[in-house]
Amino acid sequence: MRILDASENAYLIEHEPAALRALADWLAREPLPAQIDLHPGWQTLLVRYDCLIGDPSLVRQELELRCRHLSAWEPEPARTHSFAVHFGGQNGPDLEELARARSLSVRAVAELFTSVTYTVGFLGFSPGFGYLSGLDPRLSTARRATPRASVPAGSVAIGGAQAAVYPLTTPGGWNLIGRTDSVLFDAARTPAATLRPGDRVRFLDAGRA
Amino acid sequence: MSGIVVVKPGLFSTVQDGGRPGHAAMGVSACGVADRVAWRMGNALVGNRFDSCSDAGSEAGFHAAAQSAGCAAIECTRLGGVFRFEQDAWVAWTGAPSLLEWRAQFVRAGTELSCPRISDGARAYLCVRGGIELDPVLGSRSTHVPSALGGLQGRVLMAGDRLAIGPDPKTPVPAQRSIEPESIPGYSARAALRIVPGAQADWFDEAVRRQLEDSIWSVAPQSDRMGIRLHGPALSVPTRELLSEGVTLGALQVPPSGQPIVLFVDHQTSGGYPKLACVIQADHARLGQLHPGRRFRLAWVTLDAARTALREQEAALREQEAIVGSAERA
Repeated sequence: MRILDASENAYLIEHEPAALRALADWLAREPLPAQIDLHPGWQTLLVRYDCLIGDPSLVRQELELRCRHLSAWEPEPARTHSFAVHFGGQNGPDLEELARARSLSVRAVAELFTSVTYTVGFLGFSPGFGYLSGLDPRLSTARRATPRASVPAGSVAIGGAQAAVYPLTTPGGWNLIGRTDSVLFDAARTPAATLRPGDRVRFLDAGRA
Repeated sequence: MSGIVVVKPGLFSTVQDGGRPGHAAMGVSACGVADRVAWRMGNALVGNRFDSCSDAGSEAGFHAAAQSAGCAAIECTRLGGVFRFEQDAWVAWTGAPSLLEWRAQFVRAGTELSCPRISDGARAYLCVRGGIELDPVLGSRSTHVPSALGGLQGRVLMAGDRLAIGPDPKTPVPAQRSIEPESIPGYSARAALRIVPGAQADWFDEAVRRQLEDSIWSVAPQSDRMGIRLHGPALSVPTRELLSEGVTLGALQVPPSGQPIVLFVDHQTSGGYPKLACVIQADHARLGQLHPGRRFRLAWVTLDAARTALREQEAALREQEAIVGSAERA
């Protein structure tokens, strides 16, 4: 475990992913007085604080203290989500090329993609966008050289060794293989985001249901 | 008829307030005004208290009271718009340093207000007594255009849009009608923008760290509320790969091109480029006034100096808020 200054009012904590999930959960439910925001990453947690409200050295001490007592904190249990995916065609314009590059059939790609359970690393990029680990290495595909200006909401995509669902229509550089009707972010809901770090995700082939 | 009608939207006008920090773990950007100093002083001039307009309730992030999003204003960029008032209102234009005096004025229903010319700066704020009234999203009325969240349908203002004005804050209308931006420490200075080491500062050679301070930088045209792109010498980039991690406002990241990007108010919550430095919070308002082509320098300071600068600026802002009669920030 290591705590770095990311600026005069932010600490970057490096730790094991499971420990960081517990710490983020603890800080979210029992925030420090000066805490402004929590930004999880793959192997880090960024804690932004108000350096006029909280003495920086005391904030650091409190973070160290919590890191030492993480075993005492019971994080919210991980959930499992299932998303039905319409593969290929207009829903997944990159699926055929991705399959061809691997000498696989489109169906085989869909089967490989739906055969594993993914884990949500963290949320970032856009509201509700979860980075999913667990992709079959045979499907790992570099991001597109030129990102699309607009990726439709619900697009299911592969970026490098990760998978994701685009919750909102945003620009995006990942390879689109399908689309789900599930809503992954809705500001009017509580919580607004469907996914939480540590959650499991399964994809189902809507065409074979 | 009531409220404000957008007659001409200008180049890029949006509704903004103090933003919606507290939701980064869901990938939601903090967003909010690009020039917090101008926005706070504009609200003070029309008698909006810092915690007026906050009915955000449990939707807000951590410590809702202390982090109140405050009253929303119209943020105009570069070429401002024209706005017709359909009711009487107290208003103030603040922002771009060329607006030498920030002044409150009373406008009658039917008045059309044009954004003052922005000659040296980037943004102006039209602050209205009572604030711009919209349904808050996750505790804030700020518009985050990249994810179409908040504000008016998550988008820039267009001709014909009608904005409501919130209820009167029940404060006295300030007797003092103007504020000199020169009186705010660190705001109007043409000094270098101050930086502290970023999370990966030690990934870069000492020579690169010096180069950052020794070079003259200019703002590239592609800059926007997500990031201010710096044009200058290409910095040599570390070969190490960074796993995506949380990023903070003002972080100066160095992508493979070697041309730094300073993350700004609409920035994504995480990123994968190493961060060499971070512009100190006391200078964030000045970032909001950098226009394309503007030249500037960067200067390293210590974390302690950064905090002192912020404390001094905050004290001056509160003093002004107290003078115009709208202090009592939580």
